[in-house]
Amino acid sequence: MRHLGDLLSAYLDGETTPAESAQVVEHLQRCRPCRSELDEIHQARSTIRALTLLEPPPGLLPDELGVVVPIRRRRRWMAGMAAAVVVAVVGVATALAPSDAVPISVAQLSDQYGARSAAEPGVTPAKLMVPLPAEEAE
Amino acid sequence: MPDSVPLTWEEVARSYGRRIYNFAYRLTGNRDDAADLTQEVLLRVKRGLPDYQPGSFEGWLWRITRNAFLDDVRRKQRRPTSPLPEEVDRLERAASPSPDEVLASIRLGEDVEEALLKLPIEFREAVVLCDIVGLSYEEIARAVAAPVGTVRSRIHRGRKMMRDLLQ
Amino acid sequence: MRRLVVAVVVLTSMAQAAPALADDLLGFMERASAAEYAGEQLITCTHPDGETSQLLDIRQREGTLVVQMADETVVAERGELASSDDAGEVRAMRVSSSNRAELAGRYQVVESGLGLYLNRTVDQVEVREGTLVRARFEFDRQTGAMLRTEVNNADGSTYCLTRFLDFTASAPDLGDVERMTAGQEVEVLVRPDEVDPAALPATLAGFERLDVYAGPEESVIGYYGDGLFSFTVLHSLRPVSVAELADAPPVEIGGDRYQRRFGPAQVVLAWESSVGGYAMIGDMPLDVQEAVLGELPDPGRPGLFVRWWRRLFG
Repeated sequence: MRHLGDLLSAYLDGETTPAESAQVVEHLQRCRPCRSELDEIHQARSTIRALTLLEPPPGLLPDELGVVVPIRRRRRWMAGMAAAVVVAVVGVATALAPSDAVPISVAQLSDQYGARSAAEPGVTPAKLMVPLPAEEAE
Repeated sequence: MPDSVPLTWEEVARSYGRRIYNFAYRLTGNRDDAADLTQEVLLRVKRGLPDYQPGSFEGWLWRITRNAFLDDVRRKQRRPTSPLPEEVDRLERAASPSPDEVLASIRLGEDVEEALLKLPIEFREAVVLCDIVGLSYEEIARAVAAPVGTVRSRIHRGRKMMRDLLQ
Repeated sequence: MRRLVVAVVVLTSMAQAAPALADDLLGFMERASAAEYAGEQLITCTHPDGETSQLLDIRQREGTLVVQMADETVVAERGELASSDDAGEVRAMRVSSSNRAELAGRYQVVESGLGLYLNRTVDQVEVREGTLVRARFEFDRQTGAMLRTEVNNADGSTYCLTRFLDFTASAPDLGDVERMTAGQEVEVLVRPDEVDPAALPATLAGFERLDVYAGPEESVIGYYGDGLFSFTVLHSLRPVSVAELADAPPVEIGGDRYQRRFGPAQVVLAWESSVGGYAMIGDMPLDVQEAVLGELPDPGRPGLFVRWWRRLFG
């Protein structure tokens, strides 16, 4: 049985193709060494991500007014762009939809469903997520 | 993904300066060097912006940063503060810590910083670009001029080395 | 001595392997809601379009649940939800009411004993429907957290499996959740004063309509539950256009054509009927999805969505 190796890091980072993700999930279910490796890599990653971000010394950069790009939020710039594009597509769809159609997004539906589900005890995290498949986010 | 670059040099400095500085700090391990490097990068950005072809702006920016670092290393004619590539395997194998090491393994930020600086440069830059700068694998591949598969492998091996060093 | 302990455990398990009251499931759920922990959870669902899986980073403390995945962070508290995408966009929503779903009479709750999961002692609870084990839960003894959940289809195959890959039983740091939610505009869903009783049925395939809300552009949103699963239906007299479903190929369910997309542990459906447009989202397994659709107005004009989108986007 071939172990997952660097697929594990890619999987944690959301950098696997749907086929690879399926392979990882399937393999993890029956491979204990890979599960521990996933845990260890995850821990190493969290440790690195927890490093404090330093402020540049005064005078190095122009005044900190104006544009502020949030630093190292959980995700990547690319994914952010993808999200922006999705929003743009929804916007276009809304603009172009026949005047008699009600334009809604999966996110709207999902938010309502999630908020309402969260009103009940024992809500599972899965109910809270916007259910778009992974390839949509890439 | 193509992007539009409405950015002026000042906007690049304001938007990315902090990240450039942090990337530089994690590469050099030294605040003064990081400040120098940041300045050098911003200078190169200023010179390069007029000729910048819309494409991947971040790939471009981080490639400049990394090249500035490598140039600096070459100029100072010293090796990066990291083992030679042949030593990597040995580093990876040095896994089982002594009881004393275990006792001492309170993971202060400093330990992590030191461990990170011990990674060979190609692993360090991949890990830092991924986990500290927050780039996608594709952006990293553009920045370090390597295939995505190589980036994937470097990030994974880099994290494994970190795990071993921090154990 | 060891043998004696084992014997006692077995006896205890046997004593517990008896039907429990539906209230007990609610008790477990309430305890799970109050549990404090952090961990990484993997959800895998198998459906006609293949398999969907998702790795989630989860932290829960003082009734606040924070879920992080690739490009989204969600913070939930009772009746409130805020999500933030990578671009820093935050959406927040609050629902104004919450009638609680009773566990439907067709379910029987059985505490099937103690087990081990991730080296932790768990209470195993099954929800049976006749001879079918519809759902199997494993609740952590110490914290009450739901460590593993399995949901099955009518034929006994597994629809979704949700389990922690790592789990830490201590109050986690929720990070900058405050900053994410502070000062956000919250969309509040209110119950409309008057709802056309015909707009959404009071019951659907054994699910109770718990709340009705005013949706966008005079649409009506109903939330249904049966104490185990739940779903939301949006209905409008006008066509409903769900942008993300536009390129999903139409699927045939019970002889009718729907737009459908599976996400981790949820399904989204949309269709056009002779009485207006519908969209639905829910976590019920495949056969239950079909049963619910069977009791809502059928897609009246198959292929409409396709024609419509072709007209829009060529």
